[in-house]
Amino acid sequence: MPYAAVLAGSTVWVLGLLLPWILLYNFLKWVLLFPPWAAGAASDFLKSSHGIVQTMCVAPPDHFVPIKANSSSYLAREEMKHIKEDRWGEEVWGAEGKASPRLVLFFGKNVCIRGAHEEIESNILKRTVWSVPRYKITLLKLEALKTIGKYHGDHKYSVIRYPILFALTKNIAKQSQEWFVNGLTK
Amino acid sequence: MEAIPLLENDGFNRHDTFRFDASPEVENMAEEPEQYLIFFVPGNPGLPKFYTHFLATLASMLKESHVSTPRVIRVCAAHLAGFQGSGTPLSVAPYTLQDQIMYTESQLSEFAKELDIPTPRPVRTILIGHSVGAYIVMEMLRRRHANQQLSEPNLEIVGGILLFPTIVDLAKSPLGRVLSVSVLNSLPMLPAVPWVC
Repeated sequence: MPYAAVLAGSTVWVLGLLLPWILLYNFLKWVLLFPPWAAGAASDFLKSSHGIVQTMCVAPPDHFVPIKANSSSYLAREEMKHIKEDRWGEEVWGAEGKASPRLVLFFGKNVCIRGAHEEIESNILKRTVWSVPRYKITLLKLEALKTIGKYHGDHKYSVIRYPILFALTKNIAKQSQEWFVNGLTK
Repeated sequence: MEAIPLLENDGFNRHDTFRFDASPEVENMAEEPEQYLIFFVPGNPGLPKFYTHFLATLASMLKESHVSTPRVIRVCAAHLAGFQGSGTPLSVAPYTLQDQIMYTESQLSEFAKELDIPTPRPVRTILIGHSVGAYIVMEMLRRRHANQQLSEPNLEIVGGILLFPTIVDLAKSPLGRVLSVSVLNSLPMLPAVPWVC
């Protein structure tokens, strides 16, 4: 179902509108099996006054903000509209002999930007070969994410992505910590 | 791991921010500690609360790190504009992607102002971004390079961690094609209902 993520997200939003916070929290926790912290965060988000509109680009009533319906001024649509080509040069990616922040990128296999991450990786590796010291950029692929590959279509814009993503919290945090301690600060 | 108490709302709508002390314990505290700030930029939806578990885990791991020199490490998270709690109505919302970049920069500046650290060296800062937060981080780096006035004098950005970055061709990705702009436009007005209620 190509629209499963949208459908699931919309269903939860409807429930978010109808249910008080505590019932919503328990629905997410016991029916959708969110961890308690994720159920709390998702409930806060669904009951917040601006979050959903800001997230999903559906316009609020005209009297609330002076932006007409279907304008492209919302974040999800903004992402689609503006995140195009690799727009950064050596000032960000780095270049030999020039000081610039060191970067580490975590890509999840089959998650979210499967089509794009290979291109990013290819571009970065080209830059790495051409001008950037190899230590400048570290590419880490989280192999563990393969095991949740079946969820790849649900990753973005779906409120159910967070428990999935952050089931790997420890893995990501551990690798970040190791990079911080052993790679960046030495 | 105990979160540092949240600051009072100071007019900057920052009551949704989180801070953790991640300084590892070192026996030799005679040396002047190196100062670090880890600044997290969330994805969409931009609520740091979604990342509390991740940030607390990271802070806990950093705190338990075995290091030879003393370090003070602060971990803090921003929120994206428009995702504040229900008690903070915004006058101008929703925000564009460019707005989000500038808003995040302003939050980092506010954090920098709070860092009243008597050290001659700037605080070494690592930006972490998730999803579109990674794009915001990259743009912050680019904009700082282009305009030095955007850089805080007491911060030196030394690294960035991009988690599942959506930094190129989002619309071409498999899910991007599903959630094309036309689909987004055709979604019902359900999320607008909170404003009606």
